Amino acid sequence: MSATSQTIILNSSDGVDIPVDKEVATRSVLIRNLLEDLGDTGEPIPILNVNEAVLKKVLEWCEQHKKDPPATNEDDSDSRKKTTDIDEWDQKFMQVDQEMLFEIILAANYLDIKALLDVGCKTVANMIKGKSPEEIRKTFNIQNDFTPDEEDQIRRENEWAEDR
Amino acid sequence: MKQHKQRDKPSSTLPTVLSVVQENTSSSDSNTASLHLPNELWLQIFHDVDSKALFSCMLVCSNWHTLIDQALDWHTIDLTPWFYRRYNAVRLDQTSTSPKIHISDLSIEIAVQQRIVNATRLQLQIPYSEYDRVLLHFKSEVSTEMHWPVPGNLFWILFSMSQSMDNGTAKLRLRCPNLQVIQAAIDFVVVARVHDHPYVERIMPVLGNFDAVAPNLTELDLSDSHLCSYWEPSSHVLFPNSPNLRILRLDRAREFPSSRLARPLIYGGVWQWIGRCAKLEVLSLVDTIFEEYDLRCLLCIRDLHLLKELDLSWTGHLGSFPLGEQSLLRLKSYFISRMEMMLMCRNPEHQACRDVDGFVPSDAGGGTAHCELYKVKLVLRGQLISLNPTREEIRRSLNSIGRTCKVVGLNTY
Repeated sequence: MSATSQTIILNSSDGVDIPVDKEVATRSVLIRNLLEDLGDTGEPIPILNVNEAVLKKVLEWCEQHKKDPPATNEDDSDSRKKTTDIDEWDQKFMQVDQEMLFEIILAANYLDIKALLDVGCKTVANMIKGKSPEEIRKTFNIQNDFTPDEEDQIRRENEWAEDR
Repeated sequence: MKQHKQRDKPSSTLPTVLSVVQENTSSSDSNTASLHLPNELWLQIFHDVDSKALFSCMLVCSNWHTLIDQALDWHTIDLTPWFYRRYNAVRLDQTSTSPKIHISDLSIEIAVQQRIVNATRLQLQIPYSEYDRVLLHFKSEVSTEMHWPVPGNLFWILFSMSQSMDNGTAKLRLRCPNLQVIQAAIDFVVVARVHDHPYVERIMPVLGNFDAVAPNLTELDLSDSHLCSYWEPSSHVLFPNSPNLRILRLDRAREFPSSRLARPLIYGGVWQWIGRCAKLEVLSLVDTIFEEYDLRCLLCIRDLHLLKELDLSWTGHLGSFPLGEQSLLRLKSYFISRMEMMLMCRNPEHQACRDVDGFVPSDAGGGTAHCELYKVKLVLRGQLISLNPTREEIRRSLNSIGRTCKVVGLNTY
């Protein structure tokens, strides 16, 4: 497939070429840096860790947010507000099964798309909110490796800081 | 099971520890991912979780517990939820003829202590209006003067952990080498409730070794605090010795005998303490009344040579400004070389003040000349901007802090 000046080709981990608008693709810092370093040769850019289905989903998000202002230093994790407010479109976008949700988060992390990573993390945070430890374990398939005594001790140690 | 793919993301600043998700397909539901997130991403997720959910997460598995405990920011410790829990869960020692609050669950104190050791900022924020709620615990029990020491103060909390406690059940040592800021909104000990009237006093723990406990304390906010329990000069030696204190806020703070609950009022002892804070740069005394005839307050302020900001803002809701004309003149003379501005405005609701220019004190008797001032703000920033601000300058300054009431200048001094 040939690329126009505004279109580049991404090659997913399962070998599928996906043409995409350059403006959309460069929401990814990784792709932007690659294009800057290598130049726009027209050759497919290999995205080694993201398969076709996930890559298309990520690019769908990038298309929707291609006009968003770029992330600033103020958006860094240390300074951002502890909030789980998510834009309505993003909420619908993230209504996927947990496997896909985690795939999107990992892809956003790999492709360095901070805004998408934030949305993904907040979605997971919302899944945690209001749940008991046992419900969280079940939600994320985690094994409880505490002894009852250990669990009781941790519970008592942190009782002081629980919300009233 | 699908294996977690190795990701080559190089730029993360978060620590990577062990993979946290355990494999247990037997308990998972159909929507559960078999894919694992690395710890750095779980940490980012935990940053979006409120404290209540965070403690649920700590109970999920040992790896999450370690991750949250070690990686999240524990530098700021808010003891307010703990304080409320303590009151809600308060138990009484019924075996004693003079019942006391039972400090029963020592592990909580130990947990707090463990956190505090690494903290740089401690805060306890109890609205003054809520102390009545606390007193509900005692309403049915106390009919006359019985002493019920309740730990309601940040100092008390600190020192109840470092000193022998009343009930003799614990002797814990505490040292907070990193602590720089203490912010305690309210500070009291309930003594008794008589005919629905709360008698709130403070039993100050020994704070003589405070500089050893928190040697790096630079900011102390005791706004709304009661600074002394009994009108005894000797009690003043109990104020904390914090030689490196740079910022001290005592807004609406009070030091009074038990019968004087209505007016925030601080006497000489507190000023002696303040005077020992030789490195003080900011002193905030918003709505704090101090005795005008006690010159120690003025001399203390005069001798704070590094003071850059003194805030004597007066909102007027407690009546007239406590300092008389002569005291204000003294203050002005002490700071004239360092004064940026001194703002005063009359209470626009006060009939006697309407349409009167200049500084007109009213004789309140007893040698104390009170001025019917609505707002007084004296700000020192080490630079002289205006000795005699014009009416317009004052008005502009007041506008900048959101005040629009009638003002008078300093020209009459």
